[in-house]
Amino acid sequence: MLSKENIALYAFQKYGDTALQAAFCCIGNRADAEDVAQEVFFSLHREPRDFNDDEHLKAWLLRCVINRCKNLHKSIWRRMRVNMDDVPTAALTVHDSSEREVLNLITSLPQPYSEVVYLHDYEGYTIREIANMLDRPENTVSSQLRRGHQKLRMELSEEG
Amino acid sequence: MRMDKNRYRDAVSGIRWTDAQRGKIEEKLRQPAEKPSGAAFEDEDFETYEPPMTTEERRRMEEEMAKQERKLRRMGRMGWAVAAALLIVIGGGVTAAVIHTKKLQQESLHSPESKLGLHLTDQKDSASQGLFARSENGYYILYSGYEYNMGTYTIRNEEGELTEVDAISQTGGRGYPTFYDPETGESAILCARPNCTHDGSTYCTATTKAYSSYYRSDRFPMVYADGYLYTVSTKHSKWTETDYGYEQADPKEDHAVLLRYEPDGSGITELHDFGTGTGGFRPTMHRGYLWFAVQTMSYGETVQNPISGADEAFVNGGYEIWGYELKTGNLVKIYDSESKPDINHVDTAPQYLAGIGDYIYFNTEDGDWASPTGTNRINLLTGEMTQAPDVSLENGFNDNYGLYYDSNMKDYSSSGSWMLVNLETGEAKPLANTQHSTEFAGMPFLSGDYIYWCQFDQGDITTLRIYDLNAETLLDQDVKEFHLPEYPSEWGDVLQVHASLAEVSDGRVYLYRTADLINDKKGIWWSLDRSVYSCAVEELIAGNPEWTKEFELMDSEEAGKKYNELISYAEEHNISSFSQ
Repeated sequence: MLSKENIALYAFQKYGDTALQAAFCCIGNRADAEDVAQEVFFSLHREPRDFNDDEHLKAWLLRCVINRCKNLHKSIWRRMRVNMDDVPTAALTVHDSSEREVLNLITSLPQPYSEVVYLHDYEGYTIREIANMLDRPENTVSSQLRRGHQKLRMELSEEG
Repeated sequence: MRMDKNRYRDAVSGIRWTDAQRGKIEEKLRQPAEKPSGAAFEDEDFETYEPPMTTEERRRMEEEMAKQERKLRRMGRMGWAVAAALLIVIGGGVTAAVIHTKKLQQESLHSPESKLGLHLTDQKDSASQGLFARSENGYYILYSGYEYNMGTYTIRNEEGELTEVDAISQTGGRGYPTFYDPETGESAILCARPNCTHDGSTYCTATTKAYSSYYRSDRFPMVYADGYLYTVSTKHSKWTETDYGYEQADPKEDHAVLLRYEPDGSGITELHDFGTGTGGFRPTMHRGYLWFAVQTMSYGETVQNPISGADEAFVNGGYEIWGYELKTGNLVKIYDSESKPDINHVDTAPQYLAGIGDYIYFNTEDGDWASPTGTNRINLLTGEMTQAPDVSLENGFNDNYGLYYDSNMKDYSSSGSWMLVNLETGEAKPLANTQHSTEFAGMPFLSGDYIYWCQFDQGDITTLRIYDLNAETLLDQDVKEFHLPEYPSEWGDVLQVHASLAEVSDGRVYLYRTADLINDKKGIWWSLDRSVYSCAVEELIAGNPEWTKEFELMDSEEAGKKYNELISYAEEHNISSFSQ
């Protein structure tokens, strides 16, 4: 059992960037992503709970981030979308312009593809694990992943 | 470039907290936890996530469920009693939650702290359309009649030569801000100057061209608050009186000013000169402040347009949102769109602001690439601005909902739906049976607990629909069936009597009733009567409206005399039609 005195601080130190990356890929907006990600940790701080292990904690955090992103998508209230070129360099470790280009494409990927592609391609979860985490049939996750990849490939070939 | 998993991972791994952000968050997490805030988006998103069960865990759970099922079966009818008791408990919980939510909303309205330094009260603007302002004594409305002038005019004939002809010309009426007293039936143009003919000179306080808000707005440009009328106007410092009227001032010299009037139009006071730009916007009263926009402009070098030959100035501008505290007279700027000095472009200021709860809402309609269109709202407590991109909240709000038209631009068709949006959460749902169609034009608007939608036929309403906030249709009726009082015509040949929706406020619907004479031979219409009637919306929905005449916008007898005079002049001078 993972039981820490300050579970939220532990979670942030271990998975803070993970939560931010997940939120960014789902929302496509740096400012909203920061809000969503940090609010997940603040809520855990307000209402701490125990986890089986690190993997359980990480999956729980990702689930919370994605749910919050979905709620934000339901809402018409958004901040203006920030192009990656406008994000301060200090907030990014991006090596070349093609990486920025890819990031811009990722942010343009609509839900539900964005979250599935992120969980599969970045976090390395299997389709079955994603299906459990998002409470969707495996076939649905599979087709969403396929379409997400197709969309990214199409956009990239159109771009350049 | 080829997209693959590695490229994706490389790009995403660059998204990280900055050291400064990380430090701030960790510091906050080291502090004792704050109590739950009750903010939006907290109810459902923290559902418990458990990792997938192992086979052993699933077997144990299924055994437990089977045991429970057997137990319930044994309980028989008793089980239903338990279930009913549970329902009562749950129902009580729901009621308590609703009450708690209401309490939270009320508390939020009283929240005294604002990072913008505002001192917010509970004061609200009751007007929904803003077509008139109401004081304790009556109504203020902008009466824009038409004027017909008889005389000799110089025109260019078919050969291109200048020639003089007898004619009757029609000009758009000036907007006379006029006060109507429903008790006495009397009306007065809002000018307190003695012997004034309201001819548009700078002497007249109602039609003066020193300030020009009246000529730009289709809403009544003033708001009545705490015994005064307020407006945001454009001050022209260079109006020049000539033989043929007033020459346009140099717009570079225009200033936006916040004006205050006494209720009779006297005592005009410039509360603030913004030093630049234009006004012409109706302030919105909310939480003890008047909120308004000011268009800012700055002019650069004047160059000749090589195509038109006209001199054109390089101009750019933006807008600012201001609040004027009624109690203290303090001004606070809460938003600045920050004009872009390198672009020859002006971001148009929003014509209409709406205050709801802790927010000021406004639309940006025609921004360029740097200023996307949509609905914006500024949080008066935090100063934060959020935006609903490509959404234009229209025509009225209540404390919880707004309306916007979701045009289906993706397939480039004109189809779309009116959406009812929860302003707190941003969740939107289409209004039932409001699919846009050509025969049902116009825009719905929301006031209080109802949505109103009018069908127009050549500018006049023929049908009025009323919906509740569940989008159920409560009324769908031809206005002819509203049984407005008969027009007592002594002229005999009134050809058209029609009605249009003027305003909905405080649970009453206000209709304009117009009676027009139409002279086919001379191609004119002539209004003999414009009156405003009101009835309670509940009565209208129930089908038994009792109409009250609020005020008359014109003197029918005078209007009739003028009509006869014009027709006689046209016949004497063989004028076949009135020119405009």
